[in-house]
Amino acid sequence: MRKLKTTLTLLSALISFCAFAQSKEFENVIDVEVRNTVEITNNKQIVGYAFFYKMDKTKKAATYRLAILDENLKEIGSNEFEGPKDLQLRRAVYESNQILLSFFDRDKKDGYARFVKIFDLKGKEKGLIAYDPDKVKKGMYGAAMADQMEAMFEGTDNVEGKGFVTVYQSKAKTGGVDIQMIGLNGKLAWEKSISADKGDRSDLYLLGTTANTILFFEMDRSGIMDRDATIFLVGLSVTDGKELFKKAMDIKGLTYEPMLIKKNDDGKLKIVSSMADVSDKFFTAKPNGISIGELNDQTGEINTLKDFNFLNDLGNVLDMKNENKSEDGYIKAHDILMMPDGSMVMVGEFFRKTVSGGGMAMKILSQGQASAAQATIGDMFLLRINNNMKATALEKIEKDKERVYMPTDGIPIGLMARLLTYQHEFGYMYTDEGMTGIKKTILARGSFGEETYGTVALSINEKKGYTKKRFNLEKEKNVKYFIARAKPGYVMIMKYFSKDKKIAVNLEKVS
Amino acid sequence: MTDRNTALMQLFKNDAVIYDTLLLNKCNSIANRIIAANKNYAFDSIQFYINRSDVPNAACYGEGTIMVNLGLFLWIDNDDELALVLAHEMSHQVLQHLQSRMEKNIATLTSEGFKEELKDIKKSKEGRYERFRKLMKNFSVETGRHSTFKESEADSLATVFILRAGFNKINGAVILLKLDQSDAIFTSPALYSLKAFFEKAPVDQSFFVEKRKYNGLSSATVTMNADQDLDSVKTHPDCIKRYEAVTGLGPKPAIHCCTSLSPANSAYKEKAMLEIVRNLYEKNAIGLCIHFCIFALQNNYPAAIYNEFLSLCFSQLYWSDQHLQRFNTVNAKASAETTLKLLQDYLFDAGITDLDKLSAYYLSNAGPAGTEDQDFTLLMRNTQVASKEAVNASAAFNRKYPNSKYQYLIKIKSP
Repeated sequence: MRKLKTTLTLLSALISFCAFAQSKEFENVIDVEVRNTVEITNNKQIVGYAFFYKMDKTKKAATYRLAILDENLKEIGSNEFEGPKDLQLRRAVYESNQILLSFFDRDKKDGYARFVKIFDLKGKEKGLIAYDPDKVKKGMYGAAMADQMEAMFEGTDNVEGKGFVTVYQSKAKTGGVDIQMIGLNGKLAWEKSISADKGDRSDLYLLGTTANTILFFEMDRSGIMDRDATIFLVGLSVTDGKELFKKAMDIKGLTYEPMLIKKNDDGKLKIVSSMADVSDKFFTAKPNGISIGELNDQTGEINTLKDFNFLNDLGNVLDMKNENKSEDGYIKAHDILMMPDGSMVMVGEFFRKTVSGGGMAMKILSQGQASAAQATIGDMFLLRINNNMKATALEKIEKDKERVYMPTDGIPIGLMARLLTYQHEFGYMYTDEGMTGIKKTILARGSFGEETYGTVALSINEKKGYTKKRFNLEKEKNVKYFIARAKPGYVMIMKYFSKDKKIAVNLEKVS
Repeated sequence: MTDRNTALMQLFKNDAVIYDTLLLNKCNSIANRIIAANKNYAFDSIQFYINRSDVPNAACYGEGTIMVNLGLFLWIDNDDELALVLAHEMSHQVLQHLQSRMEKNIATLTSEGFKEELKDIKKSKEGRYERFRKLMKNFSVETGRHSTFKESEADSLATVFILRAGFNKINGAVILLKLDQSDAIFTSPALYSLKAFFEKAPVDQSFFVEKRKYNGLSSATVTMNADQDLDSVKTHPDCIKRYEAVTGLGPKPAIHCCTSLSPANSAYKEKAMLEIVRNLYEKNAIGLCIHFCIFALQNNYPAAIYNEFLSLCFSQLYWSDQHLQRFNTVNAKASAETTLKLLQDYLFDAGITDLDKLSAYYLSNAGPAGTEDQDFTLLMRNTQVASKEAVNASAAFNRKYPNSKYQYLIKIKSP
């Protein structure tokens, strides 16, 4: 989050002899820099927050304070420690009374350093595991490029009852990832690197973890410039990092690109993938459908529940122009929601590739150097799928179009969708399933048929329709608002008073 | 001294102090008895004030000013107990504890060395926090050490005072054992059953029935006192030792305190409870206010008024939800696995239609229609939930009750 400054307060002279607390009040003396506020997640849900302050600095080091807050913003633990001068907290994950914090140290002449620390809930440090700094030296990709790539490829997740997995983007020319499995004792259990052979290129995304398996989506190419790729679903053993399976995702003439895995109430893993024709080059392929299957995390076997071809299977609810494009544009599927009655709702958004007037002018002025391409993101939709895996209805949620500049004219639709996702350009923010997992609410931002731009919560009814709740934030002078994800059923509203350098945090119900 | 006075004045400005003749007269009568029996001590002019805090506490602010919290009256069962608390605070005054401590602290804070170091810290760009911590560390240790000693000294003198005044020190010292358990009012699972309390209300019961998939860090039991003082309202962990020192007795008697109220001293307890609830409602501490209302109803306190406050609380909660203020209104920073935490979670979770229903339900359980209390509760429901035109509704209420005790609340609460 944003780098903010707040103020520590100093002892004042309210001294009374009480039978009870003798509280100390503090007033302005020392400025404290709030470096980062990071959500603490467990199984992708927010269970608390980590506030990271810079308390003090010397020539070579700094003193930091870590405050661990529960999901109701109550401080339950804290720690102070010395560290490098420019330390940032990137991620926080919780598992079995332990918290892993992933740090990023930019203050290195030769790249940057990464490490994780494990704390218990009181804030007591249990372990520190460094990521070998030799691996982050400037190479072909360079520190800046690698930093940018990390947002896409790195991952940190909890492994139920076992510990944590951290994934770093490898800086090798052949790509890949470096993986560390960390036990609940705060010690490194194992580490492993996955990369391609010389001359080739591998890129891996952490899809998620189960109690037994760490799941990746792997793209293998013959070099970084190759527009085609072979797609794999890779499973590593949580116990020792050994490869349990590497399953090719080219099946019966279709390439399946895994988008998300999700555990059902019955413990079964659902995998949702987008489909494209195998004969298309992967990076220029136009998705022609969505697949839903059940995944065996030990063997990688996928029991396909249904391949939804846009034209054949969704044509009854979508106004299709051709196999991969409807009247409303291409489709980006964000989530698949399992409803209590066994039916499903797919949440998605329409987008299309358009030409920007401004971009075209720039292109002319720069003699063809600039890009005129832009993505236009349109309405959201809820696709209803009944118990027989048949698409029964498509409910459009109208919102104003958003236009996003694209770096190159020749960007293919598949890559465009990925880019828009990583840059958080779509209106969809996340799905909130409430405390019990029964309520399904989509948090989205945009202008939904109203004049103002903002955040809305769309609570999806089991059978049909949705209710909309808008978070109306009154405008105040010198106050900035941030709306962020919070515990299930809530959003976090942060008010930053720029004049007073104060932050007020509030949680609000989404439905 | 100026800071102390400013802080004291702030309490008055913030309406943290009330003038209540029943409670003040009680304090004054006991204090007068103590003063009369201990004429060889210079008591100065003791002035009692009633602080609206729900925390069982009393405090001496120097120059004869003694604050007694409403929360203390909930657990006082006889005059001996109150006498010990008041005599303890009066002893601080007689022994000039505050004066000597303030003088010492002022001497430290105004010493050239301290001021120079603080100035240097402010100017410095590096190592400020560490230097500041070192500077203040000595200060804090010193005050803490003195505090423990002076508490014992005040206890000793208080024992002399109350014995001379004819109070029973063994009975009086029981308050120390109660104070040792004072967290129970916020933490004990024996306080009330939330499920049983809400099951008659016409609202969705799934919160009490369905197993929650989600467990945030608030459900993990970790250290106490990591955050604010609500985690533990106890500030003297040595109450048991103090009991033993005051009574000269070894094993302490079993005390069943702070999960239910004994009928003794009920007039003072009822008054204190009502003012606590009123204060919490006024301050928009709705989570805590509902907690105390349920606790009062469990202890057979007058049902009509607490049902009214429950209705007012749910109307307020409804309004807060609509104005993105629900979290702060509900949040009582409750600890894991406590009754208050369960209530807080329910108030976080309850749907907006249920808040409306609860407001209506408790209004229907309140006193007879057409009374000032009922009309005020209805007015708040109309303005906060039904969004009826607030100005006209308030004006109509004011016409009917031109001298209403609720005028100030209408000013605060009307949207």
